[in-house]
Amino acid sequence: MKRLLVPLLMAVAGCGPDFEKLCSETHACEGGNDEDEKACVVELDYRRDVADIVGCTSELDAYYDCLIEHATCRMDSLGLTCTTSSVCGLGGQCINGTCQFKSYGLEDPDVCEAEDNAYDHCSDFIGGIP
Amino acid sequence: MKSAKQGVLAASLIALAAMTAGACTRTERLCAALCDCEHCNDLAEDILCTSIDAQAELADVYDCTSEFEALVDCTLDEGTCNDTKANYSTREPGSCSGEQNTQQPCASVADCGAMPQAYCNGTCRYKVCAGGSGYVCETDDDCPSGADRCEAEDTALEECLDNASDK
Repeated sequence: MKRLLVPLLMAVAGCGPDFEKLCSETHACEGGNDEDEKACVVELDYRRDVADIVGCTSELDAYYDCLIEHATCRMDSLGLTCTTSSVCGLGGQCINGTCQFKSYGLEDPDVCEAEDNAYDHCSDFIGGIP
Repeated sequence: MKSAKQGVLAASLIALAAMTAGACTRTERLCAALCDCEHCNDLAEDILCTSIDAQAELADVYDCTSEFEALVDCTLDEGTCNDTKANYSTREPGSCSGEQNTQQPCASVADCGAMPQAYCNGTCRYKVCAGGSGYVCETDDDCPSGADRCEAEDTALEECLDNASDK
Protein backbone atom coordinates (compact mmCIF):
# COMPACT_ATOMS: atom_id res chain seq x y z
CA MET A 1 0.00 0.00 0.00
CA LYS A 2 2.80 2.36 0.99
CA ARG A 3 4.57 1.60 -2.28
CA LEU A 4 1.49 2.75 -4.15
CA LEU A 5 0.88 5.82 -2.01
CA VAL A 6 4.34 7.35 -2.25
CA PRO A 7 4.42 7.71 -6.05
CA LEU A 8 0.80 8.88 -5.98
CA LEU A 9 1.60 11.62 -3.45
CA MET A 10 4.69 12.61 -5.42
CA ALA A 11 2.60 12.85 -8.57
CA VAL A 12 0.01 15.04 -6.84
CA ALA A 13 2.71 17.27 -5.34
CA GLY A 14 4.31 17.59 -8.77
CA CYS A 15 1.14 18.99 -10.36
CA GLY A 16 0.82 22.62 -11.25
CA PRO A 17 2.89 25.02 -13.31
CA ASP A 18 6.66 24.70 -13.34
CA PHE A 19 7.42 27.73 -11.18
CA GLU A 20 11.07 26.70 -10.82
CA LYS A 21 11.44 26.96 -14.59
CA LEU A 22 9.64 30.31 -14.76
CA CYS A 23 11.77 31.75 -11.98
CA SER A 24 14.98 30.33 -13.40
CA GLU A 25 14.30 31.88 -16.80
CA THR A 26 13.22 35.18 -15.25
CA HIS A 27 16.44 35.15 -13.23
CA ALA A 28 18.54 34.42 -16.32
CA CYS A 29 16.85 37.27 -18.18
CA GLU A 30 16.46 39.99 -15.55
CA GLY A 31 19.34 39.15 -13.22
CA GLY A 32 19.34 38.91 -9.45
CA ASN A 33 21.01 36.51 -7.06
CA ASP A 34 20.15 32.93 -6.06
CA GLU A 35 18.02 34.15 -3.15
CA ASP A 36 15.94 36.27 -5.55
CA GLU A 37 15.28 33.17 -7.64
CA LYS A 38 14.19 31.19 -4.55
CA ALA A 39 12.03 34.12 -3.41
CA CYS A 40 10.34 34.13 -6.83
CA VAL A 41 9.28 30.49 -6.30
CA VAL A 42 8.04 31.25 -2.77
CA GLU A 43 5.91 34.12 -4.09
CA LEU A 44 4.40 32.04 -6.87
CA ASP A 45 3.74 29.14 -4.49
CA TYR A 46 1.95 31.63 -2.24
CA ARG A 47 -0.23 32.78 -5.14
CA ARG A 48 -1.12 29.18 -5.87
CA ASP A 49 -1.92 28.53 -2.18
CA VAL A 50 -4.30 31.50 -2.19
CA ALA A 51 -5.84 30.39 -5.48
CA ASP A 52 -6.36 26.99 -3.87
CA ILE A 53 -8.12 28.58 -0.88
CA VAL A 54 -10.53 30.53 -3.08
CA GLY A 55 -11.13 27.68 -5.53
CA CYS A 56 -9.25 29.10 -8.53
CA THR A 57 -6.38 26.62 -8.76
CA SER A 58 -7.19 25.39 -12.26
CA GLU A 59 -7.53 28.98 -13.58
CA LEU A 60 -4.21 30.00 -12.03
CA ASP A 61 -2.52 26.88 -13.36
CA ALA A 62 -3.88 27.50 -16.87
CA TYR A 63 -2.60 31.09 -16.83
CA TYR A 64 0.88 30.19 -15.62
CA ASP A 65 1.12 27.18 -17.94
CA CYS A 66 0.36 29.57 -20.82
CA LEU A 67 2.83 32.17 -19.53
CA ILE A 68 5.59 29.60 -19.13
CA GLU A 69 4.95 28.29 -22.63
CA HIS A 70 5.03 31.67 -24.35
CA ALA A 71 7.20 34.00 -22.25
CA THR A 72 10.48 35.21 -23.66
CA CYS A 73 13.27 37.51 -22.56
CA ARG A 74 12.59 40.89 -24.14
CA MET A 75 13.98 44.40 -24.13
CA ASP A 76 11.41 47.00 -23.08
CA SER A 77 11.75 50.73 -23.51
CA LEU A 78 10.00 53.04 -21.06
CA GLY A 79 10.73 56.06 -23.25
CA LEU A 80 13.50 57.45 -21.06
CA THR A 81 16.16 59.17 -23.11
CA CYS A 82 19.80 58.60 -22.18
CA THR A 83 23.39 59.11 -23.21
CA THR A 84 24.92 56.43 -20.95
CA SER A 85 23.59 53.30 -19.21
CA SER A 86 24.35 54.77 -15.78
CA VAL A 87 21.38 57.15 -16.06
CA CYS A 88 18.99 54.22 -16.70
CA GLY A 89 19.32 52.81 -13.18
CA LEU A 90 19.43 49.18 -12.06
CA GLY A 91 19.31 46.72 -14.95
CA GLY A 92 18.89 49.39 -17.60
CA GLN A 93 20.99 49.76 -20.75
CA CYS A 94 21.23 52.82 -22.94
CA ILE A 95 20.60 51.66 -26.51
CA ASN A 96 20.10 54.11 -29.37
CA GLY A 97 19.48 56.97 -26.95
CA THR A 98 16.73 55.32 -24.89
CA CYS A 99 16.88 53.23 -21.72
CA GLN A 100 16.08 49.59 -22.39
CA PHE A 101 15.24 47.07 -19.70
CA LYS A 102 15.32 43.30 -19.96
CA SER A 103 12.12 41.64 -18.81
CA TYR A 104 10.78 38.12 -18.98
CA GLY A 105 7.20 38.05 -20.19
CA LEU A 106 4.84 37.87 -23.11
CA GLU A 107 5.74 39.49 -26.41
CA ASP A 108 2.05 39.43 -27.36
CA PRO A 109 -0.09 40.08 -24.24
CA ASP A 110 -3.15 38.69 -26.02
CA VAL A 111 -1.70 35.21 -26.25
CA CYS A 112 -2.79 34.34 -22.67
CA GLU A 113 -5.70 36.78 -22.48
CA ALA A 114 -8.38 34.11 -22.07
CA GLU A 115 -6.49 32.44 -19.23
CA ASP A 116 -5.74 35.82 -17.62
CA ASN A 117 -9.41 36.85 -17.78
CA ALA A 118 -10.60 33.51 -16.43
CA TYR A 119 -8.21 33.81 -13.50
CA ASP A 120 -9.29 37.41 -12.81
CA HIS A 121 -12.99 36.58 -13.01
CA CYS A 122 -12.58 33.55 -10.77
CA SER A 123 -11.02 35.64 -8.03
CA ASP A 124 -13.21 38.73 -8.53
CA PHE A 125 -15.65 37.78 -5.78
CA ILE A 126 -13.07 38.50 -3.09
CA GLY A 127 -11.76 41.63 -4.73
CA GLY A 128 -8.90 39.97 -6.56
CA ILE A 129 -6.16 37.71 -5.36
CA PRO A 130 -2.53 38.77 -5.35
CA MET B 1 6.31 -5.03 32.17
CA LYS B 2 6.53 -4.41 28.47
CA SER B 3 2.91 -3.36 28.32
CA ALA B 4 3.37 -0.99 31.28
CA LYS B 5 6.24 0.72 29.42
CA GLN B 6 4.10 0.94 26.35
CA GLY B 7 1.34 2.45 28.45
CA VAL B 8 3.68 5.12 29.84
CA LEU B 9 5.00 5.83 26.35
CA ALA B 10 1.49 6.14 24.99
CA ALA B 11 0.48 8.46 27.83
CA SER B 12 3.58 10.61 27.22
CA LEU B 13 2.83 10.82 23.52
CA ILE B 14 -0.77 11.82 24.18
CA ALA B 15 0.40 14.50 26.61
CA LEU B 16 2.97 15.74 24.08
CA ALA B 17 0.38 15.75 21.31
CA ALA B 18 -2.03 17.69 23.51
CA MET B 19 0.69 20.22 24.37
CA THR B 20 1.68 20.57 20.73
CA ALA B 21 -1.92 20.99 19.62
CA GLY B 22 -2.33 23.85 22.08
CA ALA B 23 0.93 25.57 21.15
CA CYS B 24 0.88 28.19 18.43
CA THR B 25 3.71 29.53 16.36
CA ARG B 26 4.40 33.27 16.28
CA THR B 27 2.79 33.60 12.87
CA GLU B 28 -0.30 31.68 13.96
CA ARG B 29 -0.64 33.94 16.98
CA LEU B 30 -0.28 37.05 14.82
CA CYS B 31 -2.88 35.81 12.37
CA ALA B 32 -5.27 35.02 15.21
CA ALA B 33 -4.73 38.42 16.87
CA LEU B 34 -5.43 40.27 13.61
CA CYS B 35 -8.47 38.20 12.76
CA ASP B 36 -9.96 38.20 16.25
CA CYS B 37 -9.81 41.99 16.14
CA GLU B 38 -10.84 42.57 12.55
CA HIS B 39 -13.50 39.84 12.37
CA CYS B 40 -12.08 38.04 9.33
CA ASN B 41 -14.28 35.38 7.83
CA ASP B 42 -12.78 31.89 7.38
CA LEU B 43 -11.68 32.60 3.81
CA ALA B 44 -9.99 35.89 4.71
CA GLU B 45 -8.33 34.27 7.72
CA ASP B 46 -6.95 31.44 5.56
CA ILE B 47 -5.57 33.97 3.07
CA LEU B 48 -4.08 36.18 5.78
CA CYS B 49 -2.39 33.25 7.55
CA THR B 50 -1.04 32.00 4.21
CA SER B 51 0.29 35.47 3.46
CA ILE B 52 2.08 35.71 6.82
CA ASP B 53 3.56 32.23 6.32
CA ALA B 54 4.79 33.26 2.87
CA GLN B 55 6.43 36.37 4.34
CA ALA B 56 8.15 34.18 6.93
CA GLU B 57 9.40 31.91 4.15
CA LEU B 58 10.66 34.88 2.13
CA ALA B 59 12.50 36.22 5.16
CA ASP B 60 14.07 32.79 5.59
CA VAL B 61 15.20 32.71 1.93
CA TYR B 62 16.99 36.04 2.44
CA ASP B 63 18.39 35.00 5.84
CA CYS B 64 16.31 37.66 7.59
CA THR B 65 14.40 35.34 9.92
CA SER B 66 15.52 37.06 13.12
CA GLU B 67 14.41 40.45 11.78
CA PHE B 68 11.07 38.96 10.69
CA GLU B 69 10.52 37.35 14.09
CA ALA B 70 11.39 40.62 15.84
CA LEU B 71 8.73 42.40 13.77
CA VAL B 72 6.13 39.70 14.50
CA ASP B 73 6.95 39.78 18.23
CA CYS B 74 6.71 43.56 18.25
CA THR B 75 3.41 43.50 16.38
CA LEU B 76 2.04 41.03 18.93
CA ASP B 77 3.42 42.87 21.95
CA GLU B 78 2.75 46.44 20.85
CA GLY B 79 -0.32 46.01 18.67
CA THR B 80 -3.69 47.04 20.01
CA CYS B 81 -7.19 46.41 18.79
CA ASN B 82 -9.48 49.36 18.28
CA ASP B 83 -12.79 47.63 18.92
CA THR B 84 -14.92 50.45 17.58
CA LYS B 85 -13.05 50.43 14.27
CA ALA B 86 -12.29 46.67 14.26
CA ASN B 87 -8.71 47.62 13.43
CA TYR B 88 -5.49 46.09 14.75
CA SER B 89 -2.55 48.46 14.69
CA THR B 90 0.88 49.07 16.17
CA ARG B 91 0.51 52.80 15.69
CA GLU B 92 0.03 55.17 18.59
CA PRO B 93 -3.64 56.08 18.84
CA GLY B 94 -4.69 59.47 17.57
CA SER B 95 -4.83 62.23 20.15
CA CYS B 96 -7.33 65.06 20.28
CA SER B 97 -5.13 67.07 22.64
CA GLY B 98 -4.10 70.01 20.50
CA GLU B 99 -5.58 73.47 20.66
CA GLN B 100 -6.08 76.10 18.00
CA ASN B 101 -6.33 79.65 19.31
CA THR B 102 -8.28 81.93 16.96
CA GLN B 103 -7.24 85.05 18.97
CA GLN B 104 -10.85 86.22 18.77
CA PRO B 105 -11.74 87.70 22.20
CA CYS B 106 -14.74 86.18 23.95
CA ALA B 107 -16.61 86.28 27.24
CA SER B 108 -18.52 83.07 26.62
CA VAL B 109 -18.74 80.33 24.00
CA ALA B 110 -21.69 82.21 22.49
CA ASP B 111 -19.18 84.81 21.24
CA CYS B 112 -17.42 82.12 19.23
CA GLY B 113 -20.32 81.76 16.79
CA ALA B 114 -20.77 78.60 14.81
CA MET B 115 -17.19 77.42 15.16
CA PRO B 116 -17.35 73.63 15.67
CA GLN B 117 -16.13 72.28 19.01
CA ALA B 118 -15.25 75.81 20.11
CA TYR B 119 -14.79 76.92 23.70
CA CYS B 120 -13.96 80.24 25.28
CA ASN B 121 -10.86 80.84 27.38
CA GLY B 122 -10.37 84.58 26.98
CA THR B 123 -10.20 83.97 23.27
CA CYS B 124 -12.11 81.51 21.12
CA ARG B 125 -10.31 78.19 20.81
CA TYR B 126 -11.08 74.76 19.51
CA LYS B 127 -9.61 71.31 19.89
CA VAL B 128 -7.42 69.88 17.16
CA CYS B 129 -5.50 66.65 16.71
CA ALA B 130 -1.99 66.63 18.16
CA GLY B 131 0.89 66.36 15.70
CA GLY B 132 0.22 69.39 13.57
CA SER B 133 -2.42 67.96 11.22
CA GLY B 134 -4.78 70.79 12.20
CA TYR B 135 -7.84 68.53 12.06
CA VAL B 136 -10.68 69.78 14.27
CA CYS B 137 -11.67 67.00 16.66
CA GLU B 138 -13.92 66.04 19.51
CA THR B 139 -12.43 62.72 20.62
CA ASP B 140 -9.18 60.77 20.02
CA ASP B 141 -11.00 58.60 17.48
CA ASP B 142 -11.41 61.64 15.20
CA CYS B 143 -7.62 61.89 14.80
CA PRO B 144 -5.25 60.00 12.51
CA SER B 145 -2.98 57.53 14.24
CA GLY B 146 0.51 58.51 15.29
CA ALA B 147 3.95 56.91 15.25
CA ASP B 148 4.39 53.21 14.53
CA ARG B 149 5.70 51.46 17.65
CA CYS B 150 7.31 48.78 15.45
CA GLU B 151 8.90 51.15 12.96
CA ALA B 152 12.45 50.16 13.97
CA GLU B 153 11.70 46.45 13.47
CA ASP B 154 9.91 47.16 10.19
CA THR B 155 12.87 49.19 8.91
CA ALA B 156 15.36 46.52 10.04
CA LEU B 157 13.49 43.83 8.10
CA GLU B 158 13.18 46.04 5.02
CA GLU B 159 16.90 46.82 5.09
CA CYS B 160 17.82 43.17 5.59
CA LEU B 161 15.69 42.13 2.59
CA ASP B 162 17.02 45.00 0.45
CA ASN B 163 20.63 44.16 1.30
CA ALA B 164 20.17 40.46 0.56
CA SER B 165 18.46 40.99 -2.78
CA ASP B 166 20.13 42.03 -6.02
CA LYS B 167 16.88 43.34 -7.45
